Amino acid sequence: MKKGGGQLVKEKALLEALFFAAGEPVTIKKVSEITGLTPGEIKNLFRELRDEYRERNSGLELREVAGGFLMSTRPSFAPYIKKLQGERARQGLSQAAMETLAIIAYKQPITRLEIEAIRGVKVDKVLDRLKELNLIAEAGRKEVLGRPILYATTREFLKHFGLRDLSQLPSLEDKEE
Amino acid sequence: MEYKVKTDVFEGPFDLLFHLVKKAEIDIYQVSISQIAYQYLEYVKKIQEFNPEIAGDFLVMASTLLKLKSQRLLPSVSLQGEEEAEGEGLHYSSEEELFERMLEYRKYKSTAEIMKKMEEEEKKYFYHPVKVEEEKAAGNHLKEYMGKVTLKDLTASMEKVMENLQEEEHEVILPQEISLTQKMEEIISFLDKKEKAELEELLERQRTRSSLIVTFFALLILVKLNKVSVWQKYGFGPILVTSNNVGDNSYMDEERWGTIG
Repeated sequence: MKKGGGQLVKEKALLEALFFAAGEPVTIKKVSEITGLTPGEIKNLFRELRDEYRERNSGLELREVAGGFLMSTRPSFAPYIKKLQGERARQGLSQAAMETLAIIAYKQPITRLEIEAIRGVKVDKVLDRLKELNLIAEAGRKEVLGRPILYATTREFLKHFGLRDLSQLPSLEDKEE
Repeated sequence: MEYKVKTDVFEGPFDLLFHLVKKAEIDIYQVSISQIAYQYLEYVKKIQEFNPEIAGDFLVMASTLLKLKSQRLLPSVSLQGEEEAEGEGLHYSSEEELFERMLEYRKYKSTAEIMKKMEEEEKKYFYHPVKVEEEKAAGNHLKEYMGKVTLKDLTASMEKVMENLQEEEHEVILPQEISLTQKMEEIISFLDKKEKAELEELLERQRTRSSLIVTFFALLILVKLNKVSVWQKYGFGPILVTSNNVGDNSYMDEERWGTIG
């Protein structure tokens, strides 16, 4: 079942084209459906492609993000691309949103009241904003009195922070400055 | 007192509490509520002046601090069990519990700081812009535009609309008026003739939307006055209206029911 070199090169180029056109994380499953390649083959080709990009110091980079493969520009070129795009800065999250998101990320699924107990402030508006940004989503209801809504992070959340999956979150520990 | 301008913004009561504990340079497990409570209240006073809206969150903590402080001053008096209402959380029965919660909050706050850095890093990656994303961008543009509309703008345009509306209302003059009493009478006399009628039959006779509404309203009043009954023989069956045959007509008081136009 060994494939000829020509065939491999062609498949690699196909994946490259897919990653480029996707512009967002593509899962192995999807690539497999489209190309008919097995997950194992796709993984290998992805690694080869990624290493090739590195070896020749390409301006592009391949990463595993949010459970998929993602092609992007190299971060070191960010200042130039910002100039190209006219400094249209992507706005970061506010501190309130970030704290709330951190709590949800580590304690999901979690209810609004549980988040408020940790933060000590109301979070309804922050939750609305995070939902709007698709960083969190409702994940069923807690089976207690009032059946409050449970919140969990989304794939967009992983993408926002460049994480492959939730296990890549920084460890939660007390840090005394 | 401090002479420099206070620019610290605290994300919540725990944040402020931690700041004060740290500033006092005391071991977190030895800090006494009394030391902190006073400074805390001072700060809350300031917040109330500038931002009364968020002061509420801080006030709950202030009252908790004072409660814990008084518990300490009067160790023999047990305030416990008195009001263990677990309403909105934020009730702590001991300093240890309070500080534990504060430290827990602290964990997430520092993690949020790390995540902020990760977000910054991630912003350095740019993707091939797909068509879908262009649409999204258009949506964002709209949002930006919406963001510039202030409450004042909204009320102003609402006032304008209302003004125009009033002007138009003058043109639509009285003939549209339908008397509620008249409709009540109509229903009663209709029922006198028929003894029993279907609700639909009753409403179908009305030609305009407003007379339909007034008739329905009249029917409700009659039911309330116990003049007619509305019932169903079986679930989802036709709704039937019958007169209760009470001769008293004093409720037919034009002044009382007026008209709806």
